[in-house]
Amino acid sequence: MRVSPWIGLSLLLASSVGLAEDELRPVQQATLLLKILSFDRNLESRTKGGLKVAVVYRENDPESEAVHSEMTRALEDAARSLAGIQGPIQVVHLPYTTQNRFESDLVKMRPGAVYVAHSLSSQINFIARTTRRLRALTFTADENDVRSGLSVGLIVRDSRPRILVNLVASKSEGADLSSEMLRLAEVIAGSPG
Amino acid sequence: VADLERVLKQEDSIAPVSRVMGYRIVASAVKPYMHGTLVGDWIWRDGAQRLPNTFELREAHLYFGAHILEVAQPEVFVQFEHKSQTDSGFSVRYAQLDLSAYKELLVFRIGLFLVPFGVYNTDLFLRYVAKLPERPEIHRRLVPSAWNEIGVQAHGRWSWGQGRALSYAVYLTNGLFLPDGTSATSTVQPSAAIKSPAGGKSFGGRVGVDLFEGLSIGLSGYNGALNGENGAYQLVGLDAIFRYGPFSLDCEALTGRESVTDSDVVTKQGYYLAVGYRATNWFEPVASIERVNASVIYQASDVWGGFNVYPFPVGFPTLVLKAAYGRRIPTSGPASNMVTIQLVLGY
Repeated sequence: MRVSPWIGLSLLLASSVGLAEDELRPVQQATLLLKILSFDRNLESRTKGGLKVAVVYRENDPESEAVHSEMTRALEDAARSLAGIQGPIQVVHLPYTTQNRFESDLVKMRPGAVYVAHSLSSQINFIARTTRRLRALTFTADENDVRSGLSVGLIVRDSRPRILVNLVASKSEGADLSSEMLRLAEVIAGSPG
Repeated sequence: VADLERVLKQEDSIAPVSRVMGYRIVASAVKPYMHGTLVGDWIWRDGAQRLPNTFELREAHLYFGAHILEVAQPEVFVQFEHKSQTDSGFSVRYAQLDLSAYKELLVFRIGLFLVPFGVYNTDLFLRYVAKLPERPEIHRRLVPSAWNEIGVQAHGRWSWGQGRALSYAVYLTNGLFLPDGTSATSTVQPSAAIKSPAGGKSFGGRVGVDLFEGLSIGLSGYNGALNGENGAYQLVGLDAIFRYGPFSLDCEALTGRESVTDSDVVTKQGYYLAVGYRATNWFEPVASIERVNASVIYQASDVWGGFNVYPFPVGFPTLVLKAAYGRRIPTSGPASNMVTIQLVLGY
Protein backbone atom coordinates (compact mmCIF):
# COMPACT_ATOMS: atom_id res chain seq x y z
CA MET A 1 0.00 0.00 0.00
CA ARG A 2 1.79 3.13 -1.21
CA VAL A 3 1.53 6.36 0.78
CA SER A 4 3.15 9.72 0.34
CA PRO A 5 6.32 9.98 2.43
CA TRP A 6 5.17 13.36 3.72
CA ILE A 7 1.86 11.97 4.92
CA GLY A 8 3.70 9.10 6.54
CA LEU A 9 6.17 11.39 8.24
CA SER A 10 3.36 13.65 9.44
CA LEU A 11 1.53 10.68 10.93
CA LEU A 12 4.63 9.56 12.74
CA LEU A 13 5.28 13.01 14.13
CA ALA A 14 1.65 13.66 15.02
CA SER A 15 1.62 10.61 17.24
CA SER A 16 4.42 11.96 19.37
CA VAL A 17 3.75 15.68 19.34
CA GLY A 18 1.93 17.19 22.25
CA LEU A 19 2.15 20.09 24.66
CA ALA A 20 4.69 19.55 27.41
CA GLU A 21 2.52 19.29 30.50
CA ASP A 22 4.44 17.81 33.38
CA GLU A 23 2.92 15.90 36.24
CA LEU A 24 4.12 13.62 38.96
CA ARG A 25 4.12 10.10 37.56
CA PRO A 26 1.15 8.05 38.81
CA VAL A 27 3.48 5.51 40.38
CA GLN A 28 5.14 8.28 42.42
CA GLN A 29 1.79 9.76 43.36
CA ALA A 30 0.57 6.36 44.53
CA THR A 31 3.70 5.71 46.58
CA LEU A 32 3.52 9.16 48.18
CA LEU A 33 -0.18 8.77 48.92
CA LEU A 34 0.31 5.50 50.78
CA LYS A 35 3.40 6.75 52.62
CA ILE A 36 1.67 9.98 53.68
CA LEU A 37 -1.20 7.90 55.08
CA SER A 38 1.30 6.14 57.33
CA PHE A 39 2.03 9.54 58.94
CA ASP A 40 -1.63 9.99 59.89
CA ARG A 41 -1.86 9.25 63.62
CA ASN A 42 -5.62 8.82 63.28
CA LEU A 43 -5.45 6.36 60.39
CA GLU A 44 -6.22 3.32 62.50
CA SER A 45 -9.26 4.90 64.11
CA ARG A 46 -10.49 6.20 60.75
CA THR A 47 -10.10 2.90 58.91
CA LYS A 48 -11.44 0.18 61.08
CA GLY A 49 -11.64 -3.04 59.07
CA GLY A 50 -8.73 -2.24 56.77
CA LEU A 51 -7.59 0.60 54.57
CA LYS A 52 -9.49 1.32 51.41
CA VAL A 53 -8.34 3.91 48.89
CA ALA A 54 -11.06 5.12 46.52
CA VAL A 55 -10.24 6.69 43.17
CA VAL A 56 -13.06 9.05 42.30
CA TYR A 57 -13.39 10.15 38.69
CA ARG A 58 -15.95 11.68 36.41
CA GLU A 59 -17.64 9.03 34.35
CA ASN A 60 -17.77 9.60 30.59
CA ASP A 61 -14.93 12.11 30.75
CA PRO A 62 -11.92 10.76 28.82
CA GLU A 63 -9.40 12.81 30.81
CA SER A 64 -10.81 11.76 34.16
CA GLU A 65 -11.24 8.14 33.12
CA ALA A 66 -7.63 7.98 31.90
CA VAL A 67 -6.33 9.39 35.20
CA HIS A 68 -8.55 6.94 37.09
CA SER A 69 -7.12 4.05 35.10
CA GLU A 70 -3.53 5.19 35.64
CA MET A 71 -3.95 5.84 39.36
CA THR A 72 -5.86 2.64 40.06
CA ARG A 73 -3.10 0.56 38.49
CA ALA A 74 -0.38 2.55 40.25
CA LEU A 75 -2.13 2.31 43.62
CA GLU A 76 -2.65 -1.43 43.24
CA ASP A 77 1.04 -1.89 42.42
CA ALA A 78 2.14 0.33 45.29
CA ALA A 79 -0.29 -1.37 47.67
CA ARG A 80 1.18 -4.75 46.76
CA SER A 81 4.73 -3.59 47.37
CA LEU A 82 3.84 -1.87 50.66
CA ALA A 83 1.38 -4.51 51.92
CA GLY A 84 4.03 -6.09 54.12
CA ILE A 85 4.67 -2.77 55.83
CA GLN A 86 1.23 -1.21 55.96
CA GLY A 87 -1.04 -4.26 55.90
CA PRO A 88 -3.58 -5.06 53.18
CA ILE A 89 -4.78 -2.10 51.17
CA GLN A 90 -7.84 -2.24 48.90
CA VAL A 91 -8.19 0.06 45.92
CA VAL A 92 -11.78 0.79 44.89
CA HIS A 93 -13.38 2.62 41.96
CA LEU A 94 -15.78 5.46 42.55
CA PRO A 95 -17.37 6.99 39.44
CA TYR A 96 -18.83 10.42 40.06
CA THR A 97 -22.16 10.92 38.31
CA THR A 98 -24.42 12.79 40.71
CA GLN A 99 -23.90 14.22 44.18
CA ASN A 100 -26.44 11.83 45.72
CA ARG A 101 -24.89 8.78 44.16
CA PHE A 102 -21.39 9.85 45.12
CA GLU A 103 -22.45 10.36 48.69
CA SER A 104 -24.25 7.03 48.95
CA ASP A 105 -21.37 5.16 47.29
CA LEU A 106 -18.89 6.75 49.66
CA VAL A 107 -21.01 5.82 52.64
CA LYS A 108 -21.07 2.21 51.45
CA MET A 109 -17.35 2.07 50.71
CA ARG A 110 -16.06 3.93 53.75
CA PRO A 111 -12.59 4.54 52.32
CA GLY A 112 -9.78 5.92 54.46
CA ALA A 113 -8.46 7.94 51.55
CA VAL A 114 -9.94 9.34 48.37
CA TYR A 115 -7.90 10.25 45.31
CA VAL A 116 -9.81 12.82 43.24
CA ALA A 117 -9.01 12.57 39.53
CA HIS A 118 -9.18 15.44 37.03
CA SER A 119 -12.34 17.15 35.75
CA LEU A 120 -14.08 17.37 39.13
CA SER A 121 -13.04 20.92 40.07
CA SER A 122 -16.63 22.14 39.94
CA GLN A 123 -17.60 19.51 42.54
CA ILE A 124 -14.73 20.01 44.99
CA ASN A 125 -16.87 21.75 47.61
CA PHE A 126 -19.39 18.93 47.67
CA ILE A 127 -16.71 16.24 47.61
CA ALA A 128 -14.87 17.92 50.49
CA ARG A 129 -18.03 18.26 52.55
CA THR A 130 -18.77 14.55 52.08
CA THR A 131 -15.24 13.32 52.81
CA ARG A 132 -15.10 15.46 55.95
CA ARG A 133 -18.31 13.95 57.17
CA LEU A 134 -17.02 10.44 56.49
CA ARG A 135 -13.45 11.14 57.72
CA ALA A 136 -11.70 10.23 54.45
CA LEU A 137 -8.45 12.03 53.61
CA THR A 138 -8.47 13.47 50.10
CA PHE A 139 -5.60 13.60 47.61
CA THR A 140 -5.30 15.21 44.20
CA ALA A 141 -2.71 16.19 41.61
CA ASP A 142 -4.35 19.58 41.08
CA GLU A 143 -3.01 22.43 43.22
CA ASN A 144 -6.18 24.50 42.75
CA ASP A 145 -8.30 21.68 44.13
CA VAL A 146 -6.18 21.70 47.32
CA ARG A 147 -6.70 25.42 47.63
CA SER A 148 -10.43 24.86 47.10
CA GLY A 149 -10.73 22.38 49.96
CA LEU A 150 -9.09 19.01 49.29
CA SER A 151 -6.37 17.99 51.74
CA VAL A 152 -3.20 16.80 50.03
CA GLY A 153 -1.76 17.80 46.69
CA LEU A 154 0.82 15.65 44.93
CA ILE A 155 2.08 18.26 42.56
CA VAL A 156 5.01 19.50 40.50
CA ARG A 157 6.60 22.84 41.26
CA ASP A 158 9.84 24.15 39.79
CA SER A 159 10.23 20.78 38.07
CA ARG A 160 10.30 18.99 41.41
CA PRO A 161 7.74 16.81 43.21
CA ARG A 162 5.99 18.62 46.03
CA ILE A 163 3.51 17.70 48.72
CA LEU A 164 0.96 20.42 49.34
CA VAL A 165 -1.13 20.14 52.50
CA ASN A 166 -4.29 22.07 53.24
CA LEU A 167 -4.04 21.69 57.01
CA VAL A 168 -7.57 22.91 57.78
CA ALA A 169 -9.01 20.45 55.28
CA SER A 170 -6.91 17.49 56.48
CA LYS A 171 -7.94 18.10 60.09
CA SER A 172 -11.56 18.41 59.03
CA GLU A 173 -11.24 15.04 57.33
CA GLY A 174 -10.12 13.53 60.60
CA ALA A 175 -6.43 13.17 59.79
CA ASP A 176 -3.66 14.05 62.21
CA LEU A 177 -0.57 14.30 60.03
CA SER A 178 2.70 14.18 61.93
CA SER A 179 4.89 17.25 62.12
CA GLU A 180 7.81 15.27 60.63
CA MET A 181 5.82 14.71 57.50
CA LEU A 182 4.52 18.27 57.41
CA ARG A 183 8.10 19.55 57.49
CA LEU A 184 8.57 17.97 54.05
CA ALA A 185 5.38 19.52 52.74
CA GLU A 186 4.23 22.97 51.79
CA VAL A 187 1.44 23.79 54.19
CA ILE A 188 -1.29 26.20 53.22
CA ALA A 189 -4.01 27.63 55.37
CA GLY A 190 -6.54 26.65 52.75
CA SER A 191 -10.22 27.18 52.46
CA PRO A 192 -12.66 25.75 54.94
CA GLY A 193 -14.38 24.22 51.92
CA VAL B 1 10.49 10.34 56.88
CA ALA B 2 13.77 9.53 55.14
CA ASP B 3 11.81 7.13 52.94
CA LEU B 4 9.32 9.86 52.02
CA GLU B 5 12.17 12.27 51.34
CA ARG B 6 13.77 9.71 49.04
CA VAL B 7 10.57 9.40 47.00
CA LEU B 8 10.40 13.18 46.67
CA LYS B 9 13.99 13.31 45.42
CA GLN B 10 13.65 10.35 43.08
CA GLU B 11 14.98 10.90 39.57
CA ASP B 12 12.48 10.71 36.72
CA SER B 13 9.50 11.11 39.01
CA ILE B 14 8.06 13.81 36.75
CA ALA B 15 6.87 13.12 33.23
CA PRO B 16 4.85 14.89 30.57
CA VAL B 17 1.28 13.73 30.14
CA SER B 18 0.90 11.58 27.00
CA ARG B 19 -1.86 12.74 24.71
CA VAL B 20 -3.15 11.91 21.24
CA MET B 21 -5.12 14.68 19.53
CA GLY B 22 -5.46 16.32 22.92
CA TYR B 23 -6.83 13.21 24.62
CA ARG B 24 -4.93 11.72 27.50
CA ILE B 25 -3.64 8.18 26.93
CA VAL B 26 -3.29 5.72 29.79
CA ALA B 27 0.45 5.78 29.33
CA SER B 28 1.27 3.29 32.06
CA ALA B 29 -0.69 0.63 30.17
CA VAL B 30 1.20 1.22 26.94
CA LYS B 31 4.73 -0.08 26.49
CA PRO B 32 5.79 1.33 23.12
CA TYR B 33 8.69 0.10 21.02
CA MET B 34 10.41 0.86 17.79
CA HIS B 35 12.65 -1.55 15.91
CA GLY B 36 14.00 -1.74 12.41
CA THR B 37 16.24 -3.28 9.82
CA LEU B 38 18.54 -1.61 7.39
CA VAL B 39 20.02 -3.46 4.44
CA GLY B 40 22.55 -2.15 1.91
CA ASP B 41 23.73 -4.08 -1.16
CA TRP B 42 26.38 -4.06 -3.78
CA ILE B 43 25.08 -5.91 -6.83
CA TRP B 44 26.59 -7.21 -10.05
CA ARG B 45 24.61 -9.04 -12.73
CA ASP B 46 25.17 -9.99 -16.35
CA GLY B 47 23.02 -11.42 -19.13
CA ALA B 48 19.30 -10.68 -18.93
CA GLN B 49 19.75 -9.43 -15.37
CA ARG B 50 22.45 -6.98 -16.41
CA LEU B 51 23.50 -4.62 -13.62
CA PRO B 52 27.21 -3.98 -14.05
CA ASN B 53 28.02 -2.26 -10.75
CA THR B 54 25.44 -0.74 -8.45
CA PHE B 55 24.83 0.03 -4.84
CA GLU B 56 21.32 -0.34 -3.53
CA LEU B 57 19.49 0.49 -0.37
CA ARG B 58 17.66 -2.82 -0.34
CA GLU B 59 15.41 -2.07 2.57
CA ALA B 60 14.91 0.26 5.49
CA HIS B 61 12.15 -1.12 7.68
CA LEU B 62 10.68 0.45 10.79
CA TYR B 63 8.38 -1.33 13.19
CA PHE B 64 6.34 0.83 15.56
CA GLY B 65 4.23 -0.90 18.12
CA ALA B 66 3.14 -1.24 21.70
CA HIS B 67 2.26 -3.87 24.25
CA ILE B 68 -0.98 -2.90 25.98
CA LEU B 69 -1.97 -4.69 29.19
CA GLU B 70 -0.69 -8.01 27.82
CA VAL B 71 -3.85 -8.14 25.72
CA ALA B 72 -3.36 -5.92 22.70
CA GLN B 73 -0.41 -5.30 20.44
CA PRO B 74 -0.79 -2.82 17.59
CA GLU B 75 2.13 -2.71 15.18
CA VAL B 76 2.83 -0.70 12.06
CA PHE B 77 5.57 -1.75 9.67
CA VAL B 78 6.72 1.12 7.50
CA GLN B 79 9.13 0.32 4.73
CA PHE B 80 11.42 2.11 2.35
CA GLU B 81 12.05 -0.55 -0.26
CA HIS B 82 12.07 -1.10 -4.02
CA LYS B 83 13.00 2.51 -4.55
CA SER B 84 13.30 3.56 -8.19
CA GLN B 85 13.93 6.83 -10.03
CA THR B 86 10.18 7.50 -10.03
CA ASP B 87 8.96 5.74 -6.92
CA SER B 88 10.01 6.77 -3.41
CA GLY B 89 9.64 3.17 -2.27
CA PHE B 90 7.84 4.35 0.87
CA SER B 91 4.92 2.16 1.89
CA VAL B 92 3.13 0.50 4.76
CA ARG B 93 3.82 -3.24 4.72
CA TYR B 94 1.44 -3.96 7.52
CA ALA B 95 -0.65 -2.14 10.10
CA GLN B 96 -2.24 -4.68 12.39
CA LEU B 97 -3.75 -5.09 15.80
CA ASP B 98 -3.33 -8.34 17.71
CA LEU B 99 -5.83 -9.06 20.47
CA SER B 100 -5.09 -11.98 22.70
CA ALA B 101 -8.29 -13.87 23.54
CA TYR B 102 -6.57 -16.67 25.42
CA LYS B 103 -2.81 -16.35 25.99
CA GLU B 104 -0.96 -17.39 22.81
CA LEU B 105 -3.50 -20.10 22.05
CA LEU B 106 -5.96 -17.73 20.41
CA VAL B 107 -4.98 -14.33 19.08
CA PHE B 108 -7.15 -12.28 16.75
CA ARG B 109 -5.50 -10.01 14.22
CA ILE B 110 -7.21 -7.24 12.25
CA GLY B 111 -5.98 -4.73 9.72
CA LEU B 112 -3.43 -4.97 6.94
CA PHE B 113 -1.25 -8.01 7.66
CA LEU B 114 1.26 -10.28 5.98
CA VAL B 115 -0.53 -13.33 4.62
CA PRO B 116 0.74 -16.31 6.61
CA PHE B 117 1.61 -18.49 3.65
CA GLY B 118 4.83 -20.50 3.66
CA VAL B 119 7.82 -19.62 5.77
CA TYR B 120 8.83 -16.23 4.42
CA ASN B 121 5.84 -14.31 5.66
CA THR B 122 5.86 -16.22 8.93
CA ASP B 123 9.31 -17.26 10.14
CA LEU B 124 12.03 -16.15 7.72
CA PHE B 125 10.93 -12.67 6.74
CA LEU B 126 13.82 -10.86 8.43
CA ARG B 127 16.98 -10.78 6.34
CA TYR B 128 19.22 -11.48 9.31
CA VAL B 129 17.26 -14.70 9.81
CA ALA B 130 17.10 -15.79 6.14
CA LYS B 131 20.28 -17.51 4.98
CA LEU B 132 20.80 -16.10 1.49
CA PRO B 133 21.00 -12.40 0.58
CA GLU B 134 18.26 -12.84 -2.03
CA ARG B 135 14.79 -14.06 -1.17
CA PRO B 136 13.68 -17.10 -3.15
CA GLU B 137 12.25 -16.23 -6.56
CA ILE B 138 9.11 -18.19 -5.77
CA HIS B 139 8.32 -15.34 -3.37
CA ARG B 140 8.62 -12.84 -6.22
CA ARG B 141 7.32 -14.80 -9.20
CA LEU B 142 4.74 -17.18 -7.78
CA VAL B 143 3.25 -15.28 -4.89
CA PRO B 144 2.95 -11.48 -4.51
CA SER B 145 6.32 -10.12 -3.43
CA ALA B 146 4.80 -7.92 -0.75
CA TRP B 147 1.98 -10.22 0.17
CA ASN B 148 -0.19 -8.29 2.55
CA GLU B 149 -3.96 -8.19 2.65
CA ILE B 150 -6.68 -6.47 4.63
CA GLY B 151 -8.97 -8.55 6.79
CA VAL B 152 -9.20 -10.59 9.95
CA GLN B 153 -7.11 -13.47 11.17
CA ALA B 154 -7.02 -15.87 14.08
CA HIS B 155 -3.75 -17.46 14.99
CA GLY B 156 -2.21 -19.28 17.88
CA ARG B 157 0.36 -21.70 19.15
CA TRP B 158 0.08 -24.63 21.51
CA SER B 159 3.18 -26.25 23.00
CA TRP B 160 2.85 -29.72 24.43
CA GLY B 161 6.44 -30.57 25.29
CA GLN B 162 10.06 -29.60 24.87
CA GLY B 163 10.38 -28.39 21.27
CA ARG B 164 6.92 -29.65 20.34
CA ALA B 165 4.21 -27.26 19.28
CA LEU B 166 1.28 -26.82 16.98
CA SER B 167 0.66 -23.44 15.38
CA TYR B 168 -2.17 -22.29 13.17
CA ALA B 169 -3.47 -19.26 11.32
CA VAL B 170 -6.76 -18.81 9.49
CA TYR B 171 -7.84 -15.62 7.79
CA LEU B 172 -10.49 -13.91 5.71
CA THR B 173 -9.47 -10.92 3.61
CA ASN B 174 -10.51 -8.61 0.79
CA GLY B 175 -8.16 -10.45 -1.53
CA LEU B 176 -5.90 -9.10 -4.24
CA PHE B 177 -6.08 -6.43 -6.90
CA LEU B 178 -4.55 -6.16 -10.37
CA PRO B 179 -4.86 -2.99 -12.46
CA ASP B 180 -7.27 -3.13 -15.44
CA GLY B 181 -5.73 -4.45 -18.60
CA THR B 182 -3.13 -6.64 -16.89
CA SER B 183 -2.54 -9.68 -19.07
CA ALA B 184 -1.46 -13.16 -18.10
CA THR B 185 2.03 -12.52 -19.46
CA SER B 186 2.50 -9.38 -17.38
CA THR B 187 4.98 -9.42 -14.54
CA VAL B 188 2.88 -6.91 -12.57
CA GLN B 189 2.30 -8.30 -9.11
CA PRO B 190 -1.13 -8.10 -7.49
CA SER B 191 -1.43 -5.96 -4.37
CA ALA B 192 -3.81 -5.91 -1.43
CA ALA B 193 -7.39 -4.96 -2.36
CA ILE B 194 -8.06 -1.94 -0.15
CA LYS B 195 -11.79 -2.58 -0.38
CA SER B 196 -13.84 -5.28 -2.02
CA PRO B 197 -16.63 -3.42 -3.82
CA ALA B 198 -17.99 -6.68 -5.25
CA GLY B 199 -17.73 -8.40 -1.89
CA GLY B 200 -15.08 -10.87 -3.03
CA LYS B 201 -13.12 -12.52 -0.27
CA SER B 202 -9.96 -14.56 0.10
CA PHE B 203 -9.59 -17.18 2.76
CA GLY B 204 -6.78 -19.43 3.76
CA GLY B 205 -4.73 -20.88 6.53
CA ARG B 206 -1.53 -22.41 7.65
CA VAL B 207 -0.86 -25.23 10.07
CA GLY B 208 2.63 -25.70 11.46
CA VAL B 209 3.93 -28.57 13.56
CA ASP B 210 7.16 -28.57 15.53
CA LEU B 211 7.70 -32.32 15.66
CA PHE B 212 10.82 -32.09 17.80
CA GLU B 213 13.27 -29.40 18.75
CA GLY B 214 14.70 -27.96 15.53
CA LEU B 215 12.16 -29.26 13.03
CA SER B 216 8.99 -27.47 12.03
CA ILE B 217 6.80 -28.36 9.08
CA GLY B 218 4.04 -26.19 7.67
CA LEU B 219 1.15 -26.63 5.26
CA SER B 220 -0.44 -23.53 3.75
CA GLY B 221 -3.50 -23.04 1.58
CA TYR B 222 -4.95 -19.95 -0.05
CA ASN B 223 -8.15 -19.50 -2.03
CA GLY B 224 -8.03 -15.91 -3.15
CA ALA B 225 -10.23 -13.29 -4.70
CA LEU B 226 -8.54 -11.41 -7.52
CA ASN B 227 -10.27 -8.17 -8.50
CA GLY B 228 -13.35 -9.39 -6.66
CA GLU B 229 -13.52 -12.76 -8.41
CA ASN B 230 -13.55 -15.45 -5.77
CA GLY B 231 -11.19 -18.37 -6.24
CA ALA B 232 -9.18 -16.69 -8.99
CA TYR B 233 -5.92 -17.10 -7.09
CA GLN B 234 -5.24 -20.47 -5.51
CA LEU B 235 -2.09 -21.76 -3.88
CA VAL B 236 -1.03 -24.70 -1.76
CA GLY B 237 2.40 -24.92 -0.17
CA LEU B 238 4.47 -27.18 2.03
CA ASP B 239 7.45 -25.88 3.97
CA ALA B 240 10.01 -27.00 6.51
CA ILE B 241 12.64 -25.41 8.72
CA PHE B 242 15.28 -27.64 10.24
CA ARG B 243 18.00 -26.61 12.69
CA TYR B 244 20.44 -29.11 14.13
CA GLY B 245 23.48 -27.69 15.87
CA PRO B 246 25.40 -25.59 13.33
CA PHE B 247 23.38 -27.01 10.41
CA SER B 248 20.28 -25.35 9.00
CA LEU B 249 17.91 -26.21 6.19
CA ASP B 250 14.91 -24.27 4.89
CA CYS B 251 12.73 -25.56 2.08
CA GLU B 252 9.40 -24.85 0.54
CA ALA B 253 7.35 -26.09 -2.40
CA LEU B 254 4.15 -24.68 -3.78
CA THR B 255 1.70 -25.06 -6.61
CA GLY B 256 -1.23 -22.97 -7.73
CA ARG B 257 -3.07 -21.07 -10.40
CA GLU B 258 -3.98 -17.47 -11.12
CA SER B 259 -6.90 -16.53 -13.40
CA VAL B 260 -6.03 -13.07 -14.67
CA THR B 261 -9.07 -13.14 -16.94
CA ASP B 262 -11.53 -15.91 -17.79
CA SER B 263 -9.27 -17.08 -20.61
CA ASP B 264 -5.85 -16.21 -19.13
CA VAL B 265 -4.82 -18.73 -16.53
CA VAL B 266 -1.28 -18.93 -15.20
CA THR B 267 -0.29 -22.18 -13.53
CA LYS B 268 2.50 -21.99 -10.98
CA GLN B 269 4.87 -24.47 -9.41
CA GLY B 270 8.13 -24.00 -7.64
CA TYR B 271 10.42 -25.08 -4.85
CA TYR B 272 13.59 -23.97 -3.16
CA LEU B 273 16.01 -25.41 -0.68
CA ALA B 274 18.55 -23.39 1.30
CA VAL B 275 21.22 -24.78 3.59
CA GLY B 276 23.78 -23.26 5.90
CA TYR B 277 26.49 -24.53 8.20
CA ARG B 278 27.83 -22.39 11.03
CA ALA B 279 31.49 -23.46 10.73
CA THR B 280 32.40 -21.03 13.53
CA ASN B 281 30.16 -18.72 15.47
CA TRP B 282 31.05 -15.90 13.03
CA PHE B 283 31.31 -17.72 9.69
CA GLU B 284 28.56 -19.62 7.87
CA PRO B 285 28.78 -20.98 4.31
CA VAL B 286 25.34 -21.05 2.65
CA ALA B 287 23.86 -22.44 -0.57
CA SER B 288 20.48 -22.72 -2.23
CA ILE B 289 18.78 -24.20 -5.24
CA GLU B 290 15.37 -23.41 -6.60
CA ARG B 291 13.08 -23.91 -9.54
CA VAL B 292 10.28 -21.57 -10.58
CA ASN B 293 7.72 -22.37 -13.24
CA ALA B 294 5.01 -19.83 -13.94
CA SER B 295 3.51 -20.81 -17.30
CA VAL B 296 3.85 -18.23 -20.09
CA ILE B 297 5.61 -15.78 -17.74
CA TYR B 298 8.77 -17.22 -16.30
CA GLN B 299 10.60 -20.53 -16.01
CA ALA B 300 14.08 -20.70 -14.52
CA SER B 301 16.34 -22.40 -12.03
CA ASP B 302 18.59 -20.51 -9.63
CA VAL B 303 21.63 -21.79 -7.80
CA TRP B 304 23.38 -19.73 -5.12
CA GLY B 305 26.46 -20.24 -2.99
CA GLY B 306 28.14 -17.90 -0.56
CA PHE B 307 28.80 -17.15 3.05
CA ASN B 308 27.57 -15.07 5.97
CA VAL B 309 29.81 -13.32 8.47
CA TYR B 310 28.55 -12.37 11.93
CA PRO B 311 31.00 -9.75 13.28
CA PHE B 312 29.47 -9.79 16.79
CA PRO B 313 27.94 -13.25 17.09
CA VAL B 314 27.49 -13.00 20.85
CA GLY B 315 27.00 -9.29 21.52
CA PHE B 316 24.88 -8.39 18.49
CA PRO B 317 24.02 -11.33 16.24
CA THR B 318 21.64 -9.30 14.07
CA LEU B 319 24.48 -7.63 12.21
CA VAL B 320 25.33 -9.85 9.24
CA LEU B 321 27.53 -9.45 6.18
CA LYS B 322 26.36 -11.70 3.37
CA ALA B 323 28.12 -12.44 0.09
CA ALA B 324 26.86 -14.84 -2.54
CA TYR B 325 27.28 -15.77 -6.17
CA GLY B 326 24.30 -17.07 -8.11
CA ARG B 327 23.55 -18.43 -11.56
CA ARG B 328 20.15 -18.18 -13.18
CA ILE B 329 19.39 -20.75 -15.86
CA PRO B 330 16.17 -19.97 -17.73
CA THR B 331 14.36 -22.68 -19.68
CA SER B 332 14.96 -20.65 -22.81
CA GLY B 333 17.67 -18.07 -23.34
CA PRO B 334 21.15 -17.59 -21.95
CA ALA B 335 22.07 -17.99 -18.29
CA SER B 336 22.94 -15.01 -16.05
CA ASN B 337 25.52 -14.67 -13.34
CA MET B 338 24.73 -12.73 -10.18
CA VAL B 339 26.75 -11.44 -7.24
CA THR B 340 25.28 -9.77 -4.14
CA ILE B 341 27.22 -8.42 -1.21
CA GLN B 342 24.89 -7.32 1.53
CA LEU B 343 25.11 -5.77 4.96
CA VAL B 344 22.11 -6.44 7.19
CA LEU B 345 21.41 -4.72 10.47
CA GLY B 346 18.46 -5.53 12.71
CA TYR B 347 17.94 -3.24 15.65
